[in-house]
Amino acid sequence: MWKYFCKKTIQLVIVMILISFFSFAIIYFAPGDISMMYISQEMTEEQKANVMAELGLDKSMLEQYAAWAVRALHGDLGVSLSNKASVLPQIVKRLPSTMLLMGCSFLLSLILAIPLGLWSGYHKNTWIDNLISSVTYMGMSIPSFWFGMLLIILFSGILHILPSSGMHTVGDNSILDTAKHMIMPCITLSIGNLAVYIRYIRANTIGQLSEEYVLTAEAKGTSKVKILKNHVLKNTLLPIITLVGMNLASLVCGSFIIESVFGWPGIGSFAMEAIGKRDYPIIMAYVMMSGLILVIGNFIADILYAIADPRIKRGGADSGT
Amino acid sequence: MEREMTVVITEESFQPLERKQKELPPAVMHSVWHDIRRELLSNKVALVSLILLLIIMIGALLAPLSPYDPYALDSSQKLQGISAAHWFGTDEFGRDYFTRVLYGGRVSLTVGFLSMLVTVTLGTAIGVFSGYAGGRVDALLMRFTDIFLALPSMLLMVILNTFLQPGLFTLVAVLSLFSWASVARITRAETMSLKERDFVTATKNLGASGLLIAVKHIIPNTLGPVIVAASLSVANAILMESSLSYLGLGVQIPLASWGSMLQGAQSHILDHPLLAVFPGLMILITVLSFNLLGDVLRNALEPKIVK
Amino acid sequence: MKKKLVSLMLASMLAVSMFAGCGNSGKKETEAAGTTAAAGETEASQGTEEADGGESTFTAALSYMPSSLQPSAQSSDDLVFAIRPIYEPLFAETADGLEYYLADSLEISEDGLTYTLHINDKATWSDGEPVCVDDVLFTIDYGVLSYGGPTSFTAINGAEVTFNKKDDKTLEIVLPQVYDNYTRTLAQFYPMPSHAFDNDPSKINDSGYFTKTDMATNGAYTVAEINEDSIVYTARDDYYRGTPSVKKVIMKTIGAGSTRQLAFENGEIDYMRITTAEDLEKYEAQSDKYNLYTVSEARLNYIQLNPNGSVMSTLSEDARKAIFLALNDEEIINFAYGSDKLATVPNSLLTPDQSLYNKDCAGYSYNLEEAKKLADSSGLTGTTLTYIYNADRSNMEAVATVVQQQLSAIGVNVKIESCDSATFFPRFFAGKDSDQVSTWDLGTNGWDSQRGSNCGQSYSYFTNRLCDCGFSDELSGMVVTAMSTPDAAERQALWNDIQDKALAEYWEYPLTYTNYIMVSQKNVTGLDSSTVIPEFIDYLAIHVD
Repeated sequence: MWKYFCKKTIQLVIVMILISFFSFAIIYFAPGDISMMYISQEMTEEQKANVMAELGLDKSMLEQYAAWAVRALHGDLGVSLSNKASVLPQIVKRLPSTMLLMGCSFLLSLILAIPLGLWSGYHKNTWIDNLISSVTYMGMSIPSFWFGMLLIILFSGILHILPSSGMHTVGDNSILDTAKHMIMPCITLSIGNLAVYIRYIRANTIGQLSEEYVLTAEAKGTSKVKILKNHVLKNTLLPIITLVGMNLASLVCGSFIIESVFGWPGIGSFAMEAIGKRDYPIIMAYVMMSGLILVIGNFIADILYAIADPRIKRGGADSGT
Repeated sequence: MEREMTVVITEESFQPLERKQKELPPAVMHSVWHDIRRELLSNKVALVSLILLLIIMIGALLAPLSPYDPYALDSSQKLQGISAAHWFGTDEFGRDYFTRVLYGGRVSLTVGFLSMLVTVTLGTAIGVFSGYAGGRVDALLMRFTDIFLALPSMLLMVILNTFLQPGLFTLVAVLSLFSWASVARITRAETMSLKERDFVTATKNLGASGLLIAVKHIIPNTLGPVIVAASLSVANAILMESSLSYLGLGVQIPLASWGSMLQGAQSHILDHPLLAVFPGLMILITVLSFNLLGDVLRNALEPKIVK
Repeated sequence: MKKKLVSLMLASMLAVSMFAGCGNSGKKETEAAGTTAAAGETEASQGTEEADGGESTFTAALSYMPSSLQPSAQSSDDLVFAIRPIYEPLFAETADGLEYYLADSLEISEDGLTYTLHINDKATWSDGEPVCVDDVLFTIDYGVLSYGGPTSFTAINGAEVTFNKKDDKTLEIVLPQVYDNYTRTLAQFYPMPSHAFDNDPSKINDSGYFTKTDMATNGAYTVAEINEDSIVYTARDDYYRGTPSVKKVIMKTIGAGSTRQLAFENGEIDYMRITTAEDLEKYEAQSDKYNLYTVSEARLNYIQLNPNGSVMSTLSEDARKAIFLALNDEEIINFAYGSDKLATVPNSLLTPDQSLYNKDCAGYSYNLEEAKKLADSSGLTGTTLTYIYNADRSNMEAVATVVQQQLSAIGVNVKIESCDSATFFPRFFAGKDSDQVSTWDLGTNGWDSQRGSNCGQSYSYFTNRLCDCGFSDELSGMVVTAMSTPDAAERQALWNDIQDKALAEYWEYPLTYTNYIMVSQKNVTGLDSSTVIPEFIDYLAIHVD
């Protein structure tokens, strides 16, 4: 177990280093010179050289990366180019809104997926299964921003029952108000994952239902609902842990676009703004932050899976897949 | 599964070795295509998806037959509703929207197919190489692949696309860059199991080079999963492309993909919602069909999965 | 072992099912309650606004939530707009001359070198401290510090500007050379409170001062709340220019394009900008519900031909003439703006808001036949030109679409490249030795706030100062002469010649004079009291009944 844990931790660190290098490289090779942001026409050559030296731009890429990485490890992600304030607090300030949205839509998709997946697997190839399956396929195939646009038109434009964007009504700090603002972005963000989870649970349910223990239970006269609840669900939930880890990426990336569509004040819309302004330190910090959420999510999923599945505990099976 | 394997192996073991080299690949190809055809014809869902896709593709191909020029402006026809002359109405420049949607399909499908080709080629090459080489090379390549799988790809695509000059080829390159990893994983797993099989070992013992084995024996045998991955990859590319275009990072005007048409429709969406409905529906139908096809094919080609 | 696993599974199952149970029912309740609450709320909010009377609220939309309200970080129009209720400039340049805010006079000596700025004696910070010269100097120092070198306030062409503090409220600024754009530079100046930082500008960056509600403000409002997606300002009662009738200003983030329109129609925000003729017509037709305001942007949008463009540099003057004659500006405006209320056909490279504008300047006129002939004879036909535009500016994409079509009529292929602001400006204004300078052949841009005697922008274009615009040395010479001609009539005559000659050189095509049109709820008035862009400076003029 410890060996497995250590192996995964080392892997996590390597992935993080590579992600950080990647994000650094994007900025490093980006067209346009970062020093342009700091250098004005009025400066003399000497002043320009000083600025370059101060920013460390006269050094090689690896040196620059190392310097940046050391500072990042100390929690110093640099200073925003547009407002000259430290990046980290600005990101941290917006993180809760994003986490709230991601968390809620994750829960929503899981809560809906479990009963729907079980049900549809249980009633395999009936009209109810077909209905659920077709909705699932739609969910996988619909462009999420378009779905969001349609929701806005329907619920804010035509029915006037939900606010079109934002997170709060000013002057109303109740949870209810936030929940109301969250309904549409939450649904939009969860639809893709919901589809993936349902399909997965359905397939697993079908697989489990043909296992011998189910047949035994059936022979003993246990009711179908009980079998589903007591046996199938249990065995289906296990693989979901890994699936959740793998699907974090779509949550992180999804929130990036959905936040912009719904004007949700999280780190996604903040990053979008930073991209528009080429505020490199913020972009880098955001990539790092998303990478971190992803990698840690995967890590937790791996560990949980290992705890739950004794085969891995002994350190044998190939991980990842 | 097991049964099929035994059949293949027995057949092999009773045949002279030189003949096997010539016959095996076509036999495998034949069975894959045969499976696909049988499944497509027997499965109603697959048939419908296929027909829908064919209609959309033919429509896109025959777009120049439309009586309207997709780029010519006409101020007297701005934002017309649906009519016999304009099936989908017209846009804010008075251009026939149906024609625009057909031309948009050309762009979206081109992006989808091109990035699928690059994705599959790159993914298969890396996957087969990694699986066949094994050992350290494999471990290194797979870690690399894992990282690509773990990246917040959409986000990086947006950043990359902002820095590069937006356009069709940028789109294809960026989309493929972030999608080859899953194909590589699949083909690698397939290669791993294939290379242990008797016929590969036998060929190797006959002195065939690694490249020959990979090209002649392993790649044809990974065809099934690769076809499935290809179908899903087209769907994914079209979906991603629409998101990028929606953010204004797509092809350049006056070209338009379905995604960039959605972006264009945004400012009129309240009073002319149909401008957003048609391209959106086209994306939905196309992506849905590719996803369905991919799944049906998977069922046909991977007997392990419960139908 | 097995037992352990089973119990673990059961526990996790229980946890999940509990979560599921609670989450499910909770969600449903919320949704149901939300619906009824929403229905009730719309009525309620209408009710309160009428009942409150004096406590009126003005709500405006922001595209993004500013990460700080620091007045010197004016990186976008959005941010300038967001800080205006709490931080004021020294003065603003409007169509009618200078409109004074924190300063109450600006005197420029006859030689144009000495600027004497006097700060309003009554102007105070919201914490009671007077606004004084130290604040101005402090803010200038901060600029130098954060820029890492001289800024446009402290240096002109490399030579230093001298600042002499006469007394707490009077500042004398001595320029090293005449620079008539300095007024405009000063108009963009927003002082920060030096007393809050012990007069040490290096303390600003990490203080987080401008992210907290207790920051000292000098405008009509103070910050009451900074939420995740909104900022609430409340009126000061010790504001030096009077007491605003709108007691509360709310800025909230609203998603893109149509979402904003939706928010406006649902009454969530009080006004928005209109950029299309369809919207204009729609709101004009409902004049019982909405007020419309038109403010001249004093903006000239233009097409620039790039003398260093890889293809353009090979073409003759006849080819440029062919391009300009092939453009039908009325059609461009019809497609891109759809109404002459939003934009009109210009006749000069100066705007009607500028005092030196010549209304008799002839402009270009569309002549396809001659354009075709010239295109053929000059070898323009069959060439491919690269066209860049700024996708962040409204209507520019539409202009590009139409221009492409019109130039195809004379056999010119136009390859359009859309850029966001961050890519556009470095390309469009690339210096002669930059490797970006040859990457485009034509492009659109606009100069805004070209008002009054200010001709700084035209000056920098006609003399190719900012970047190479292709204009001849002869024209540059005329402009330099005109700038130092004291006699008004003589000067006007010179500028009339300049306007004609600039057009005759076929480098810049005037595209549109634009108007900034806003629509507000019926109970809102006074949005057009100050003719500045971004909109509103004078919050005393805004009323919500």
